[in-house]
Amino acid sequence: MKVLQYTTPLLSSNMYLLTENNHGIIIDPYDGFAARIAEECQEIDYILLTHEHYDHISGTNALRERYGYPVICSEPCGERIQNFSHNFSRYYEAYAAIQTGEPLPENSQPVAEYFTHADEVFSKHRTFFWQGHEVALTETPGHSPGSICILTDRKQLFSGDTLLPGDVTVTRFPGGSRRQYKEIALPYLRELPDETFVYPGHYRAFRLRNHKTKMEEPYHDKH
Amino acid sequence: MTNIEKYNEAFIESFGVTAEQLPSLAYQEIPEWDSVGHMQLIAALEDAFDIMFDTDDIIDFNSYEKGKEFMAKYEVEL
Repeated sequence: MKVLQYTTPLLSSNMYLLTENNHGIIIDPYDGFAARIAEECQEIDYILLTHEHYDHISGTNALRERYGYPVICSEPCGERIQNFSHNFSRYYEAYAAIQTGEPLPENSQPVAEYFTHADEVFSKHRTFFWQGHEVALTETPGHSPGSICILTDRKQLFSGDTLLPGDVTVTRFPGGSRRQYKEIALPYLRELPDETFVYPGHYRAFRLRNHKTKMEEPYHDKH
Repeated sequence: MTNIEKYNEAFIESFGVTAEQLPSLAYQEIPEWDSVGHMQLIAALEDAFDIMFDTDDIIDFNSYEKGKEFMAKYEVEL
């Protein structure tokens, strides 16, 4: 299985394309990479969403319309992507401007109040087989209520924003919960082998063993 | 709960500060009021007062006192 990483202009979020036998799975779709997806594989079988935040779902409607494949995510994610406040599309421009310290350009095109929907949702866990590979989806709330991790062949973890390299997991966004991270996500992450290769929602991939201390660190929030 | 109490509560809940700290509170003056904390505050205020801030106002809302001006713009009397 080939794993391709594409970094989007939306807060440098990562979209991933997994390919095998000319089939593909897209994780966290971004419409701007449609042409490159088409170059890599002929048939897309699934779109998987690691969580509901706009920078990870922005291409869902456009790509589904183009290819018609099912979008799968957790139940809370499926609810929250339907609401432009809960998926943060409404706050995206302001957040991006604050993060970068740059004012909004005079001619900037406003992000529409974006919403979408899932075709299939799951609760807690779901495993399926795709082109000879095991794909295991597990709810790991904390960063957001709808966060999941995607483990392929028990070796590669697509963590969304549940794990980011060198950083403590951010659980302070509205809807985030440090308690859920500690009680649900962390026990799952602790069980993964040190050699697991993590493909995060931002930045570059890393070995889980290099992050095991960081993922246990407390965070300066109270929830 | 009065409007000013709801306004204060949004800061206290979002940042874990005390009421005494509020008058001098400003963006990035405390670790909790960073870009992520700012979104937490904005969402709390929108929920509390059933309003929707414009993007520019979210960006320019940079202190406890300045925020009061924006609340007036959204017809919230504090």
